[in-house]
Amino acid sequence: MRGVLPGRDFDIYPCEREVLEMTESYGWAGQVLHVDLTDRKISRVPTAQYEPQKFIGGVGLNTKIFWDMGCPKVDALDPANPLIISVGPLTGLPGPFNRAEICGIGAQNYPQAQYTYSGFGGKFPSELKYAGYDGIVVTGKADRPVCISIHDDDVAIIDGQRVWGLDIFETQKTLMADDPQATVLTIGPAGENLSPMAVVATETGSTAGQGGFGAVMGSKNLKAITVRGTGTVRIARPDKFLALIEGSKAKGSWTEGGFQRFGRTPLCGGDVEKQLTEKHRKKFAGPYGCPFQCMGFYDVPGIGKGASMCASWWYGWFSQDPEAAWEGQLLAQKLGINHFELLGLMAVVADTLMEGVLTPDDWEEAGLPSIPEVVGGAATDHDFLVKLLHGIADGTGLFSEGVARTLDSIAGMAEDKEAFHRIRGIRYPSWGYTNHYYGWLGLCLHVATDTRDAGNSSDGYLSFNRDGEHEIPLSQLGDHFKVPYGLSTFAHAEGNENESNYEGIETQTVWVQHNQCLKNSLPICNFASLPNSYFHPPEMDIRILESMAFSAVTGVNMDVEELWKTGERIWNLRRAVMMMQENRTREKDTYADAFFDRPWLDIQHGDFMEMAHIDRKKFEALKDRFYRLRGWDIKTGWPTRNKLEELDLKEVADELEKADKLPPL
Amino acid sequence: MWLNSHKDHSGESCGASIMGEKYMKRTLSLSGFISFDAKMCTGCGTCELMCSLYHQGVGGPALARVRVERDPFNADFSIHSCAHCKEPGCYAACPLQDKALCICEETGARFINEEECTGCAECIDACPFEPSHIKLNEERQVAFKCDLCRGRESGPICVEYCPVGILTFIPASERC
Repeated sequence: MRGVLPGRDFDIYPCEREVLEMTESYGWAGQVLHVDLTDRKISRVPTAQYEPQKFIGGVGLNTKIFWDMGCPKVDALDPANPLIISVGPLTGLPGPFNRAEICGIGAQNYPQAQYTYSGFGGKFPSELKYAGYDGIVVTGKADRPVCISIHDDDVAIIDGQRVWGLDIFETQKTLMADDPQATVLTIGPAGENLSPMAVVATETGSTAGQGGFGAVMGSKNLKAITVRGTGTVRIARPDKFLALIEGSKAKGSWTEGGFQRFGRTPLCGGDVEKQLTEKHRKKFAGPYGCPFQCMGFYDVPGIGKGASMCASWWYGWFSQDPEAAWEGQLLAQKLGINHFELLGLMAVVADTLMEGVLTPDDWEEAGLPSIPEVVGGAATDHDFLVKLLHGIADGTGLFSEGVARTLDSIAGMAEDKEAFHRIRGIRYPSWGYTNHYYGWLGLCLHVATDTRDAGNSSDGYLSFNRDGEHEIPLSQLGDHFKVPYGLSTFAHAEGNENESNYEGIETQTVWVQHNQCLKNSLPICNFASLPNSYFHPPEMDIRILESMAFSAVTGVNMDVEELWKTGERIWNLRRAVMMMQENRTREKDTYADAFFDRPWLDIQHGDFMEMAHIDRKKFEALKDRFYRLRGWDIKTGWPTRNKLEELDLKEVADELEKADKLPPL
Repeated sequence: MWLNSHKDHSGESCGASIMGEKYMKRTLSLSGFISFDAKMCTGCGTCELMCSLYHQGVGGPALARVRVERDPFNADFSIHSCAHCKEPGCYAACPLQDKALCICEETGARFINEEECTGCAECIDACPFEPSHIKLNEERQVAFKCDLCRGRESGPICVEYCPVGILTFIPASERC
C-alpha cells in the first residue's frame, strides 16, 4: 500500500517482516549499562540480549529486563529493587522522541509494592544515547552517598557526599562545574529522605514525577547520574526518516501541536495565567530535539526561574496569587517533590474542609502547617508553602509519607468516618495515586488494570471523548480507529440527559493501552502520540507515523499491524510482571468502592462539573469483555498460553505455568 | 560561567589578514550567513539534529555543523554557526585551496569538498572562533563545516526547522 501526499511519497512497508541482521547499530546504541552499588561493579550487556525487536526500548525494554531478573518481590526501598532507566531507538534524533522511562518497584505505590513507570525529558535521554547506552540498570545500595558518572565508555561510581543535601538545581550546577557539557539526573532532599512523593529530575522542569522513584534512588544512596556523550545515533534509512519529517512539516504537523496550547501558559488559568504569561514568561522551553517546545520558562524576581507546565501549577488551582503559585512550583521542584501529588494533597484538604469532615484545627493537630486563606485558614501562602514543602522534603512534616498513606494514618481523627473514607476513596482511588479523570469509563478500566494513575495516558482517552481537546470531530477519530467516542463513554449519574454506554469501551481501553506501550517504548511524546496526532487519513496517522519512523531508523521493517502487536506484547509482558511480582488477579483489577456505591462529583469533565456513577455490574461485565478481547482468562484475568505464544512470549508462558499462574486450557 | 564568550560574529577580522594577502588568489565573493535571536532560543538543538541528519544521515550534535551553547538554568542559549568570513582564514590555510576548501561560485558559501579533504585540520586551526566552527570527522578523517546547505532548494535546514523561528539567513547583499 502506498500513501501519497502532494509532492511526497510515503512508503508503507509490506506485511512480511523483513528482518535485517541485528540492527542494534541502527537506532539502538547497542548496550545496557549495569551498575551494582553494593559490589561497586559496572558491566555492560548487549541490548540484543533483551530482544529489542520485540520490546523496543523505554518501558518495553525495562519490563523485559525486570522480567529477566525474576520480577523481584521486594519493597521499593530494598536494595534488590532495580532502578531501570531506558531510552528507545528513536531517542537522540530530531523529533518528539527524547524521553527516558524509569521503571522499578515504585515507592509511591500503596498499599502494595508494585512495578511501575514514569518518564522524563530534558537533555539526559539523548545524551545517554550519544554516550552509547540504551539503558541503565542500578541495583544494590552504596555504603555512602555516591553519583554515577558516564562519559562515553568511561563509567565510574564517584563521591556523592559533596552534593548530598543540595537541591535539584544546585546539585546539577555543582556537578556540571566539572563538565559543563554534561547533563545530570538527580534527586532532591525529598528523595534523600525517602519520601514516596520524591521525584527524579533534570534541568529545571523535566521530571519523572510519579512512582516515587526519587526515594528509590535515595534508598540506594544514589544522588545523581551525570552523562556526557560524544557519539551519534545511526539511522538505517536517513532519507526515509527525513522524508517523514518533511512530510509532517508540510502538513503543519511537525512544529505545531503537542501540548503547546495547554503547556506554554499556566494550566491553572485565571490571574496566575495572565500575570505569569504577560510579565514573567521569558520564552518557551522543552526537551532537547523536540519540535514542540510546549513548556514556558518563567523568571519571577525575588523567587527564581525555571521551566514549567501542567501539574507544576498545582498551587495556582487554589491560590490565584501568581507569586504564590510560582513559589509553590519552584520550591517543590527544587526540593524534588511530586507536583501532582501536591495537587491531590490540596484537593483532599479542601474537600474535608468544605464538607466539614475535618476542621482547620483538626489538620493542625495532625501536623499540617496552618491552613492558608485560600482554603479557609488564616496563614499566608508563603508560610504554608515553606512549612509544608520543607516538612515533606526533610521527612518531619505531615504528608512526607505520601498522601494515601497519610490519609489512612489520620483517618481516626474524623468523626464522620464514612464521609472521610469516601473522600479518601474518590481522591486516592487506587495504587496510592491521585484521581485523574475517573469519570471516563475507558480510563477507569485502564487504571483498574495498571499499576499507577492514568495520567500517563489520560490524554488518549480525552482525545477520543472530550470535545474541545482538538479540532478533529470525535466521530472521525472513533470511526478511523474503530473505538467508541464522545459523551457516551462517560459514567453519567442517573438522571443525566446523556446515557452511558459501557458496550465497546474495552476496545477503547485496549487501543490506548497498546498506544501507551508504544509511546513509552519508542519513545514518542505522550502529547504527540494521541489519536489526533499526525492525523491525515488515509495516508498518515499516529500508528503509521510510528511504524514508518521505527522502520526507517532501525531498519527493522514493521508495518502498522506488526508494531501494534509489539505494543500488545509489551502490555502482556507487563501483565505477566504484575502477576509474578504482586500476584495480580481479576479481583485486584478495580479501585475504591466510593466510585461504585453512589454518585460522586467529577470536577474534570469538560468545563463543568458533573456527577458520575459507575455501575459495578456493568463494570464487571466490561472487564469480562476486556479479558475476552485480550485473549485472557475471564475468571483469573490472566493471559492464556495461546495469547502469549501468539505474541512470541512462549518463555513467559512457561515461567507463569511453573508459578501456577497460567489459566487451564 | 555558563557561556563561553564568542568573538566577533561578523567575520570581519580573521585568519586571512593574519596570514597575509599572498594566500588570497582572488577577490572572494561575499557569502550570506546565519544569524540568531537569542531572546527566544529554547536550546532545543533542533538545528544541530536536523543538520546532522541532513548532511551526515545520523542524529547527534557531534556531527552537526552548528553548535548550541546551553544554560538551561537561566534559559540562556546561543547558536554558533560559521560566519562565512569575508576573508576566510580556513580558505587561506587550506593546502588544497579550491579543491578541498572552496568558495561556492553561486552563493559564496565557504564549503569543504570532503572527497578532496585530507583531514590535515589546518582550516580548523585557522578559524578565528573558539571553538572552531570547523570540526574533524574522526571516523572519516575529513573536516566538515557549514555550507549553508548548498544545493538544498529551501536553503539552510536549520533555519527552516527551528521550532521558534529564531534563525535567519542573512544574504550577502545585507551583510555589513
